[in-house]
Amino acid sequence: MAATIFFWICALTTIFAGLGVIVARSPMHSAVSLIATLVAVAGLFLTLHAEFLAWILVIVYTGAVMVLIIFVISLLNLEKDEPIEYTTQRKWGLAVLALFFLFFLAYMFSDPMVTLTSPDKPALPSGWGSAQSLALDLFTRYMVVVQLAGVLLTAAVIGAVVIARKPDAEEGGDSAV
Amino acid sequence: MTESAFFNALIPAVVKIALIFPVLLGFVAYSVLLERKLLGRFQQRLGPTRVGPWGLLQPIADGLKLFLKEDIIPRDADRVLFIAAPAISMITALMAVAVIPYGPEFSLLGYNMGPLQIADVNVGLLYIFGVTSLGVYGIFLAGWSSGNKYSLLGGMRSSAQMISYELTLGLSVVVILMAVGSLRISDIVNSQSAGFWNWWVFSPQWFIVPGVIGFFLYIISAFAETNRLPFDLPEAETELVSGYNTEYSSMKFAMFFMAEYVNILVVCSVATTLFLGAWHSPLPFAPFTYVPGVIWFILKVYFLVFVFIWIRATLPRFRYDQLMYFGWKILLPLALVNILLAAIGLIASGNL
Repeated sequence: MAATIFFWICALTTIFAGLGVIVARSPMHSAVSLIATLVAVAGLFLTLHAEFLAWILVIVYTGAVMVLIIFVISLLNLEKDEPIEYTTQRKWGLAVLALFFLFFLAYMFSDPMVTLTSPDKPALPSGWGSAQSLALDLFTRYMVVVQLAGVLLTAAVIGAVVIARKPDAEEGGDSAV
Repeated sequence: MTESAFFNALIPAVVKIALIFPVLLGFVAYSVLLERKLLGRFQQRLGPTRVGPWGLLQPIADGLKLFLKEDIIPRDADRVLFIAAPAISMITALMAVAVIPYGPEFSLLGYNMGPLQIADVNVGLLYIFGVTSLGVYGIFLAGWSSGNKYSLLGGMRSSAQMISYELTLGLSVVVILMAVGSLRISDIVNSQSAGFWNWWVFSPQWFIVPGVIGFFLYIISAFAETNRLPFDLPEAETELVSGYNTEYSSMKFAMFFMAEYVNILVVCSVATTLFLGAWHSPLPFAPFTYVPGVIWFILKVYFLVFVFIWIRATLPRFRYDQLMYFGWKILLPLALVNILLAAIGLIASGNL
């Protein structure tokens, strides 16, 4: 019962905060809605007994990524009520995107593994979703993928540093990298 | 989970919340007084003495005063976020309190309540870091929604600073996880029983270095996370008036103030739990073990709080670029090297 109530609170928060992201006029309100959405999704992960994943989501996405996003928004100083122009081209683009996601969702729910039942049904093996089971999977079965992702992220970080560095970085004292 | 099992788990939790929450807020109020008293002594004066004996009623007077102040919302403020920001600060600060182990198992009216910890989550440590990482929004949104450039600058400084030091904070704790092999707080507490030489600051499983380095990295990052001197740039009064809380008055200001002290108590409690043996007594024999675990816990936490105040009274504020340099180029590499050292130590001593 408690899990069901918790599930519904998180599910409704996810939906309404998600709506807030696209409906809000001010970009900062959109960003704050997105934060609420992410926290609520983490709550949904908790109902699926994926505690590790839930808190990693909170730490990485809400704790770091979203901070950078609102940082950028506050620096850009966007106008509050700047209307978005919906040209025909944009409308078509959005329609295609919406259709794509609709098919994506339909495909996902056509999978017999995915069911729309209450979250506390299946009996899970002990240690499910724990840091240990996740680490074992990541460093055995998905080893190559993890390594590749690591290389990609390192390349991205180096790229970001190179782009962000001013040409005359020498005068700033030491030039790291 | 069946209904009765649910209520059996719920009742002790509610009782513990009812016990811990008011006591914690009392400690928060008196931490402010402690800080003022100690700062007074450090600066060759007495601190508050007028309200009650030795100024003991000062927190109540301060609270009443703040309640009676006018609540102002600036014209240019973003009303929703301006009101939400202090609440976010307070909520995130208080949420971390839920997994801190204040004491061993206890029973109330003959009913076993389990350990004096509201919830023993299986990823307790991640929970603490997740919740404290949300604390930055309270400060940042306060700065942004005030419609004041000084507030905004304070908020931006705090978010940059908190992201930078959170990395070190998280990495400094990894050495303990490697040795304990569990994110559950009670496992970490139990691994430090029987004497201070088993506390993780003294690293029993390997040579002494990783625990001590980890502890100091944690404490330094904790100063930055709680925006305390020498890292209180978000509210540097010589540059930013008062930083992110400039436009706040009355109880909204009080919420930020309380959240700051709750945060200090939380980071000190976490340091105590992870490095200083939580509620275990320092020596595992007779006169020391008679003292209840809660008392040991409070003593250790207040030792760290004293260090926080001591450092505040001693060190001047960092410059902003020094802060970033220190965080990214000294503390972070040191934390990574420390993890490597801990791994070598664990393998060498055969404890992995």
